[in-house]
Amino acid sequence: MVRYALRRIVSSLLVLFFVTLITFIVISVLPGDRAVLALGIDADAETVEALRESMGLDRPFLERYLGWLMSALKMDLGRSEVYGEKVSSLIASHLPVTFSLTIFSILIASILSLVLGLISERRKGRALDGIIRSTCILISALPSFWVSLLALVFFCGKLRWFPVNGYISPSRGFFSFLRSIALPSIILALGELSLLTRMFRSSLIRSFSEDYMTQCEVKGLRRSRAIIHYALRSAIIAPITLIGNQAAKLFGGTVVVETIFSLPGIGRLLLTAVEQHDTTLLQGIVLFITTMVVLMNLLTDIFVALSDPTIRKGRSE
Amino acid sequence: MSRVLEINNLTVKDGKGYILKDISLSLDSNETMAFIGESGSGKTMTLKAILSILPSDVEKVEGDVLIDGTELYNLKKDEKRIKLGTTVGFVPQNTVNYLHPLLRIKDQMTDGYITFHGRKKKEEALHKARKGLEEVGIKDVERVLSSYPSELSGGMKQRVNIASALMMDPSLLISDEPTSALDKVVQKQVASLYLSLLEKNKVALLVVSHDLVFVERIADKIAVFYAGEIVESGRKEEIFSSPIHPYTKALMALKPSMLLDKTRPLEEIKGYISEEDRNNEGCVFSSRCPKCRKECMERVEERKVSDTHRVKCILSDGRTQ
Amino acid sequence: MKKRNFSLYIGIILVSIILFLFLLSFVALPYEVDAMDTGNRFAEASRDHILGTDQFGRDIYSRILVSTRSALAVGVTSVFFGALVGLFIGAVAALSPKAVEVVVMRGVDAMMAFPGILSAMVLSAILGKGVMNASIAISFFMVPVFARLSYSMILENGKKGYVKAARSYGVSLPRLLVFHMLPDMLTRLVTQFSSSVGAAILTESSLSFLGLGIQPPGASLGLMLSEAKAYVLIEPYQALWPGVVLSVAVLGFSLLGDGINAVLSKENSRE
Repeated sequence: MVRYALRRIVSSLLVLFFVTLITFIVISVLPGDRAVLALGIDADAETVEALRESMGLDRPFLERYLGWLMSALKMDLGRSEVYGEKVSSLIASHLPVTFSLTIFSILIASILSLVLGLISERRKGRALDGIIRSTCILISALPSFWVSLLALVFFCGKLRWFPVNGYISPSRGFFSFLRSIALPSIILALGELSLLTRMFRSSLIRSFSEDYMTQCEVKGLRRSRAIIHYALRSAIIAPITLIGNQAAKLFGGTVVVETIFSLPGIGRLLLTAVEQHDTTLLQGIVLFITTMVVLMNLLTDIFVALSDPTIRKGRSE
Repeated sequence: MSRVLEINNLTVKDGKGYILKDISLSLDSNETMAFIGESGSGKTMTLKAILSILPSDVEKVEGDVLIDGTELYNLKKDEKRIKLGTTVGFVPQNTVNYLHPLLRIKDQMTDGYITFHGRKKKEEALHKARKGLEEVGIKDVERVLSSYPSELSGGMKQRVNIASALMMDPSLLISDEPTSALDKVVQKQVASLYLSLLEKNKVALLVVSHDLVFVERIADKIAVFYAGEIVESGRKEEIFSSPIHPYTKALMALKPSMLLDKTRPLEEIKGYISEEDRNNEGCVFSSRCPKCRKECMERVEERKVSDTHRVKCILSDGRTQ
Repeated sequence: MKKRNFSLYIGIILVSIILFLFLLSFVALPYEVDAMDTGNRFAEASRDHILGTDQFGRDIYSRILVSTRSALAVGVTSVFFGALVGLFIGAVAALSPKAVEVVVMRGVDAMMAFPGILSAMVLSAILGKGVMNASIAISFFMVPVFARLSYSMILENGKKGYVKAARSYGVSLPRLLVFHMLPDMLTRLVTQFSSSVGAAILTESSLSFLGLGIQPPGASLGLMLSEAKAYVLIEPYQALWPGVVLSVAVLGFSLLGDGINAVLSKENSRE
């Protein structure tokens, strides 16, 4: 187990190294002059040159990259050119929204698809199974921003169940906070439904056909116990990996929903950075999101390994 | 002496035709019965019918299965579950996944007991599991209890399976080829374990085995299966020393003997069981029988040789040849 | 099995609808994309404007037709180039010595760590807005998907008996790849290609929705929805049809992928 974890950690570090390299190359080497971008095209040459020097843009690539990497390791991502604040504190203040969106939507998606997958498996090959599967495929194919618009019209406009705009932080009442992010979370969850339900269904089918399920019957166990303790116990492992990976993807993909529901999350911050050509901010956010993605995938793998005794006890590598 | 198991005219079908046809047998406590016959002959399917775990595309169409005098298929779902759970123990063939790979042995051994005696009896269940494991010859009981199946060898797993099956002190123990997936040394160990268990426990044993030496040692009664039918049944001596059915005779010739004659050609029964054989109006063995006559393909009947010995073969000279 | 073919048929029908709209945009476009009729804003469906008009009085139906051009153009070209580069990278990794393999594949993992919309946004920030740049941005995130695909397929196939056999009687590597492995890989390739086109169309419209893809006065389904957003509580109808067409496109390509997969893998297993 320790060896497995170490190997995963080393390979994740390698991936992270490439992530920083790609981020740095793409953002600071390819495009035009950052100093010009920051000051506007009308700025005179001397000012630009001065800024270039102060930004360190005149130094060679490798030196700049290493300098950036070193300060990133110290959690110093520089100062935003638009906001004038530290990038790290900007991210910290926008993180709660995106984080809660990700957690809530993946929770909703997991529970819903577990239930749907179980029903689908129990009614395998019958009408209900078909209905569940095709509905999930249909729902997940709908573009989230379109669903968001329709939901805005219907739930916020017509029914007034949810506030139309804005985010309410948990410090101003947990219930209002939940209400303000419930709809976007559900909409994000719907997009994950098809993939997760399909996964749960197939892994349940596999574990229900295992010999130990027959053995449960022979031993006279109650059906509920056989399903919960035996079938689900092994059927849940494969979907957990997928859930972890999808949560990581969701984390970087909330921007559209954040825009529609005016939620001040990382995605919105990213959009601002893109629109305002705030390269330092952009670089910081991209690095942060990708690092989180790599870390979440790493944690998922280790968690799955821990829940499987054959790997945990180090028998089979 | 009480009747533990009785099967009368059990017939099972799937979409294509007969799986089991007209199976009848009975077993008293303290008796051991062995099912022999080649793969696909219906031995395991009969066990499944007794355990009420027939595959979903297969259906019982006729006959009774009585356990301790109660007709199993008339019971409600929950009553059946309780009846089977408390009176029948099952030792599966030693394949990998009969034990759940992600649960500790102790949880898998005790949960049947806890289901029937309640959650409060957990300590009692563990105590029973310890004793059971000791009885099947396991020394480091605590280690085995807290292991996962992947940490145990094949022989150990099979011992655990046997101890699990005995947890509820069943009156009937059913074993499906308990030794077939094990290596020779462990096979012998498990076989002698069965012998000693039978001495100690008051339990009727129903065992499927290809190992004729093991069968000869352990069985009181034998049923010979072919293509979904019992073609011959009787006491062990009757089957081993005076078999009548041509198929039983051929099987007995396959038994390894102590005095190996190297000049004797290797015995084999040519051919295999086909779909047509199962649905044959006449004798199911007719397509492979060396003595087959025209009438064999049209009709078959069961003859009573003695009180205990029955055979499904119409050839009158069957006994002498 | 019947169920499977179902998804193929529906996929074909939905994709055909999109292709039909695409063709119509060249032969039977009722209005120019940017033809405004300011006296006739937010018009309801009528004989003149079968799906009504938007906030500038532009014909929604015509704009949808033209939008399918950018959707298909961006979708297909980005996946095509992304797949080309990705397959090459994956093949190189699979056939290289261990050290190169590890480095290349960790690089691919790193690309995978950029969620689709993120890399598309960043690239369009750098390259600027527009159809061309949107395509490049989207193909960037198709690269790792196809790299992993070709990598794992080549490794899996390498273990199969027929490849070992072919090698043993001296078939050259390129020949082996093209004639022996490719047919076997085609199933997964085609499946992946089709569902990737769906994903690419979705990303293009998301980018345009965020104002980073197709620019006004051009037409894109995402852009139309973004414009509709401002008026959605008053004039919700405007947001309906672009979304329907977009859903049909995304669903169509992903079902088509599933369906082809089912058909081809069934044929393979029959052999």
